[in-house]
Amino acid sequence: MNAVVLVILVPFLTAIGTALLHDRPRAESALNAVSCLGLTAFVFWLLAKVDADGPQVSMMGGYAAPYGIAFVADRLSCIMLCLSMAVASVVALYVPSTVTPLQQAHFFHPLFQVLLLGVNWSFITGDLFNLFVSYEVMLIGSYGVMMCGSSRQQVRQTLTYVAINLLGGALFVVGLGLVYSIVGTLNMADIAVVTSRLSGPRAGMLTAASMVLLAVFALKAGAFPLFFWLPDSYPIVPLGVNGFFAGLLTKVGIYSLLRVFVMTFRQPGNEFALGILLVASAFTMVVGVLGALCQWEIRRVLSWHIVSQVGYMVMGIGLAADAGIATAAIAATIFYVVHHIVVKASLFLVGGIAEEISGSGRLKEMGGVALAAPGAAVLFFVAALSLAGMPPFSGFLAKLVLVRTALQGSHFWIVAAAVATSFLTLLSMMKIWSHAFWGGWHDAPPRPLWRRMAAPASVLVAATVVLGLWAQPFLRLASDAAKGVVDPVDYVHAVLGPEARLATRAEVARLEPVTFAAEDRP
Amino acid sequence: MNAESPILRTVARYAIPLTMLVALRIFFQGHDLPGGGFIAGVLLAAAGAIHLLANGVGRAAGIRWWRVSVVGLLVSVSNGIWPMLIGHPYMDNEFLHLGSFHLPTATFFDLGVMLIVVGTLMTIFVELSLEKR
Repeated sequence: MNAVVLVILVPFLTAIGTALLHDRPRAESALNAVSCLGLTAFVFWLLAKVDADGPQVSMMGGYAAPYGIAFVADRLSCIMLCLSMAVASVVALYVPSTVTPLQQAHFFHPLFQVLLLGVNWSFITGDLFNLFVSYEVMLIGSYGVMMCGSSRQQVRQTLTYVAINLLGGALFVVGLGLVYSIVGTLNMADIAVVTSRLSGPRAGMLTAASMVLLAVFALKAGAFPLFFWLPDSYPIVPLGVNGFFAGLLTKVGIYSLLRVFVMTFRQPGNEFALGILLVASAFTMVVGVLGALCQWEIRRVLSWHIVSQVGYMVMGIGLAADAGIATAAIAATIFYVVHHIVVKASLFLVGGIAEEISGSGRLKEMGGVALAAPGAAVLFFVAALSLAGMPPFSGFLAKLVLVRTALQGSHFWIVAAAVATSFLTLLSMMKIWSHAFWGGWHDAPPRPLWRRMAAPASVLVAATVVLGLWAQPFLRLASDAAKGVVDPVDYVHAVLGPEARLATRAEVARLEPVTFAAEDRP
Repeated sequence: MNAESPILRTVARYAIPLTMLVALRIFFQGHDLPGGGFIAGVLLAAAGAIHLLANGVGRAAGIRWWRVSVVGLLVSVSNGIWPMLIGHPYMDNEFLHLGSFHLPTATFFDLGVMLIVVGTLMTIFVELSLEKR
C-alpha cells in the first residue's frame, strides 16, 4: 500500500509549509497542530488496517526488494507511529503557550516537523542503511530544536550532543559496512532470511560486526554505559517539545534494538548481544535512578529517570536471549515502551506546567504548586505514581508483565534490580512532590497560561490510566506485535514475496557452511 | 575587495551570464552525463557571488534567499507525489516523450535540488557580506 509513505511525507510537507508561513506565527502554529492531528488519525487507521490485513509495504520508486528501499508498516511500526504522532499532537497543542517569539524566529515549527519526519521515518523503514539516513534527519531536527533560542547554556550543551551523535553516526556507517560485507544485503527482511541460514565462522563474524551497531543503538537509547550525554542535554530542550524528546528519541534506539537485534539478526550466537543488553540493563536502571535521586532540578530529575526507565526496556530485550520466553519478553517490552512514552512525555509536560506556575525549575525555589494549581498537582501525582509502578496505572502493569517474564526465565537478580529501582523511583518522585507541590504558596495567583498547557497534558495522563485499567486490548496488540518481531514470517513475505523463507535452527545444522555472501541467497 | 572596481564590474557583466549558461547546460546534461541539479546550483551561486563582489550586497540583500531553498524543497518533494496519484509508489520515475525528446520526472526533482543549493549558498554569501560592514 503506497499510502504508508504519508507518515513521512506529511511531516515533510508541513515542515515546508510552516517555513513558508514563517511571517505569520499564528497560521504557522495552526498548520503545525492540524497536520499532527490529521496524521495521528491516519496512523491509528493504519494500525487497525495492519492489525487486520498484515504488514503493508511500499517500495520507493518502484524498485523491487531487496534492491529498492522498502517502507514497511507492521504492528510494531504502527504502534510506534501511533505513539509518536499522539505525543506530537499533544506537544503541538501545548507549545503555542510556551514558544517564545525568538524560538519562533529560529524556525521552531519547521524544525519540530523535521524531527518528527526523522522519527516516523525510522519507524517505517525496512532498510538498514535507510535507518541510518532517518537517524541523521532526526538528529538534524533535534540539533535545531535544541538550539532554538540560542542561550549560552543551550549552545554549550548542544555542542556535546552534536559531537556524541556525530560519533554515533560514523560508527553506524562502519557497522553497516561490516554487516553488508558479511550478508551482502541491507534490506531487513532479506538480512533476516540470509542470517537465518548462517552457521559456523561467518555467523560468529556477523555477531562480532553487529557489536558496532549494538553500541550505536545503545548510545541512542541511553543505555549504560553510553547514557552520559543524556541527562545534560535534555534539560536544555525548549519547554513543551522536551516532552517529545523525552518520550520518543531514546525509544527510537529501543525500537532499533528490537527491529535489528531481535528481528533482523537471526544467526546462532546473536544471543550474545542480547546477553550483554541484559547485564547493561541492570546497571542502566540502578545508575539512572541513583542519578535522579541526587538532582535538584525538576528537568534533571526527569532526564535521569529516562535513563533508568530505558533500563527496563533494554532488560526486556535482553530477556529475549532465552528462546522459551522470547515472545513474552518482547511483548512486555513493547507494552513497556507504550507505557513509558505516554508517562514520560506527560511528566515532562506537567513538570513544565509546574515550572511555569512557580517561575523556576529548581526544586529548592519551588513550592506550593498544589495550593496554587490543584489540577496540575493531580496530573503530576498520577503520572509520577504510574512511572514508579503503582497500581492501578499503566506502570504497574508494565512492570508486572516484565518481572513475571523474568521470573519465568529464572533471572532473579535482574528482578531484584528492577524492583529496587522501582522503589527508588518512587522516592525521587516523592522528592519532587514534596518540594515543588507541597509547601506554602508565596504570592499572587499563578499565571493563567498553565490552564492552556494542562489541557493537552491531561490527555496523556488520562491515557496512562486507561492503559492501566483497560489493558487487555493493548496487551493483546503488544503480544501480536512481539510475535511478528520474534518470528517475522508475515514481514518477510510482505517484503520479499511468498517464496522467501526463514530457515529454522534445525535446518541450519543440516546445511553445509557457505563461504560467499552471494551463495546465501535463497 | 573594492565593490566599486570598474574592472571587476566590466568582467562581471560578461562572466555572470556566461556562468549561468554553463550552469543551464550542466543541469540538462545531468540526466545522462556527469552534472545535474547540485552542481548547476553551485555554479548559479558562483554567479551570484561574482555579482556580490562586483556590485555590492545592496540588491541581493533584499531577497530572502532561504525561501528559494524552501520552494526548492517543495518542488523536489512534491515531484515524488504525482506518481502516487495514479497508484504508483512514491518517487516512481515517469517519462514524457515528445518525439525524440524525453523529459523524465527526475528533472523536476533536480530542479528542486538546484533551487535548494542556490538558496542555501546565497543565504550564506549574503549574510557574510552583511557581516563585513
